[in-house]
Amino acid sequence: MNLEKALAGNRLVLLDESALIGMRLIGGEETTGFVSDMIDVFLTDALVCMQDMTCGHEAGDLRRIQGAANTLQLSAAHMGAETLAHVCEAIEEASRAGARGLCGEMLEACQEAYTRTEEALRDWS
Amino acid sequence: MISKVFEELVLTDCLPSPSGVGMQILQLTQGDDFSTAEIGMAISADSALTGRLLRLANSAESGSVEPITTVGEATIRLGIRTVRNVALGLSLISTNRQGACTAFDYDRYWSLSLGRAVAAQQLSRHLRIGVPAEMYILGLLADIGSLALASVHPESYAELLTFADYDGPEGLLREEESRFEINHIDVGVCMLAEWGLPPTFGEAARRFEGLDFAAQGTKLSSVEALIKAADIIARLCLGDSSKRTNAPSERAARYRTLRASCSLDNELFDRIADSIAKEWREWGQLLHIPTQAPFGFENLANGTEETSAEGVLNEKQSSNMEKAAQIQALKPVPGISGLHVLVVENNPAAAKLIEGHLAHVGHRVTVVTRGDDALRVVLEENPALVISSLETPGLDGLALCRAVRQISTGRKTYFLLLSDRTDEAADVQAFEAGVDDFLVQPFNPLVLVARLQAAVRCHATSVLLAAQENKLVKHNARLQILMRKLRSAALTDPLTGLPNRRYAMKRLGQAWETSVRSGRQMSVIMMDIDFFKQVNDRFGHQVGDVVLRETSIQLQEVCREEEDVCRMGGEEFLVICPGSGSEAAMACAERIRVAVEANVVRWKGVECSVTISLGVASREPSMTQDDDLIKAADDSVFIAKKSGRNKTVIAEINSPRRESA
Repeated sequence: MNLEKALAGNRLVLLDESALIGMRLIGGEETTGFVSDMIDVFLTDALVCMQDMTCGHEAGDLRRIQGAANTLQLSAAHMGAETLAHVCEAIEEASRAGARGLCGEMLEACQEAYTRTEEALRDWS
Repeated sequence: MISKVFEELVLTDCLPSPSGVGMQILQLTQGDDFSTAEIGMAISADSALTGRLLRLANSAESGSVEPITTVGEATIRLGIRTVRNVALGLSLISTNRQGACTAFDYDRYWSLSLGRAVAAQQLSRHLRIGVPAEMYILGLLADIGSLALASVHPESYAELLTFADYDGPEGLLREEESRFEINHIDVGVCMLAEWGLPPTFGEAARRFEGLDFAAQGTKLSSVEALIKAADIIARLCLGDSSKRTNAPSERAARYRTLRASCSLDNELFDRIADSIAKEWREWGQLLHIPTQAPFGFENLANGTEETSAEGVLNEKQSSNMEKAAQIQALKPVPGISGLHVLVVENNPAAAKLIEGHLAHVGHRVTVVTRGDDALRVVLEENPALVISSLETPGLDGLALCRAVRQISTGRKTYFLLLSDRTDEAADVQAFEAGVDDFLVQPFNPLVLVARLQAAVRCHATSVLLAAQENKLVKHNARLQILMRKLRSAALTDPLTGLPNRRYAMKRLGQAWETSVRSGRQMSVIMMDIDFFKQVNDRFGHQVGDVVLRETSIQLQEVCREEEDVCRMGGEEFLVICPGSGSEAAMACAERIRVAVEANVVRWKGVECSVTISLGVASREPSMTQDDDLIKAADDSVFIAKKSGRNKTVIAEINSPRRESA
């Protein structure tokens, strides 16, 4: 399933920059390094979550998929990565509903959302 | 004079005092009617104090096979008085780590005190002097007077330490006396007495700085020598050999002299000193007190010590100061920062985000990923605020909150739960578990910071209330102490320190009741100094007072512990002998008479001796009240006086009267 299909017509931005600006606003100028660190931590952890979801799917472990999707959804939301957060939420719901096949299909969309988000975040920082 | 000045210091309410739990323990132990369970409960309410107490109990009792795991066990092994003193001493550290006197080096003060405490404990165990845990507390509090002056007069004391031109320790004492009418040693001694610590503590504290010496061979002189040795080792650990110089050769010489003066093998002494340095560091970590990198004492003695430990401390302190200055410069929200916040979050990005925002506004943040680890941090470090995610491994957010609320200090901790659940049932569950606030994830960082401001306000109110409560507890404890003193004064003869007539009559009534109820014998010995008026007339009232004091000392030395020696007034004394029949009381009376007669009173060139006349009476079936007993003894004294004095007469109700001498 490609990303557009996964989004099911929801008009979401790839990256809500206000979240990142908010991080800067609270801390002031000197937190520029902090925001970059945040992006690094997020991207590193996101890879771990995606790996977890893939392994869970291969092993038929829906609880593992659900846990990893929930973690990534929250992290993505904190970072303003709306598209990625939306796809993760959908995967979480699918796994909770026991729809293993749907989960597998949406993992491809998740990978695509992650790649685009990563590019956007790297550009932003 | 000293006690008057000290009372004024007490009234300032600025003297170092133990924590709330410490004060509670102090209060509980003012009388004789406290139980082990009460002390145990009071100590257990402070988990950090409990942990430290158990650590000390185990290190002090290193010979034991089984480790001590509860306050109750510690009480049984160490004794309730020791546990009480240890709890009191340790709780002092937590409430007096820092202060307002800018020139007083609080880190160094506590570091040295801690080193002295550990050294005193270990030396006590190896040299078999005193109780190790008690010696630990004596070492810890031996210099408490310095901290007290810095607390009561922060500005003047800072000025004294910075600008006054005094010469050595004695010069410092003189300077303190000229400014505050009291020196730090006297303040310390008064404080130890005020807290009800054993008199040996005060005497050893008075002498450990080397300004006064106890008679050699006494228990006090051993304790004094122990604390002096502990002080030297602590200073060597800290990096100086005396208060003025830090030359390596002098450090080595001082250590070698100390080692030679102890009755231990050099190699063993080096091992003990190294062990002291190691334990000092461990305690330092536990109590957040700076210590030094270890160095071998054998190397020190041989003059091959590699680094100056003093340099390490200075470097560390200076680095801490720089860090503090940087943090200060970064604080953007004055007045609402500086709290210790525990973040429990297993999502790295969320944890980093929260940590970043909190640290930036000046809060000290600890991040853990597991709920069970969080509970450990709460127990050990008592953070002001806990921010926890709902789903954390080990213990979820709700279970963690419930557990925190079970801890006495945790009831005041502000608990903010983060959850991605938005249903009302989740809210209900969270508040039922005891959370103070609830934030739905993903949260807006601005909202998080705004919520934190509410948390900080709550915390500030809670701290204010706790301070007021602590103040009330302190006042209450002070009143209890005052009442104890008043009670004691009302029942004590000020000249001799013996119980007075009021006490004697009350005690006699109790002994009489017990004797009647149990059918056991009881006797009293009434006595009167012969020709006392002539002593006063010939040598003056001052000599008369010395005679009364010395006679009272003779009485106390001769009598057994269960016998009560009282001054009835003037030159008249009474001894109440529960359980003694006429024969035993007569023997006791004779011992008293002989001892008083043999004693020569010397005072300012005057020498004199006195004799006493004694009357012994035992309870007889024909007697109906305790007054009958006193009257019979009084009558016997009268007969002894009439028949030549310096003799004992026993009142015989149903048989011929007997006389001695």
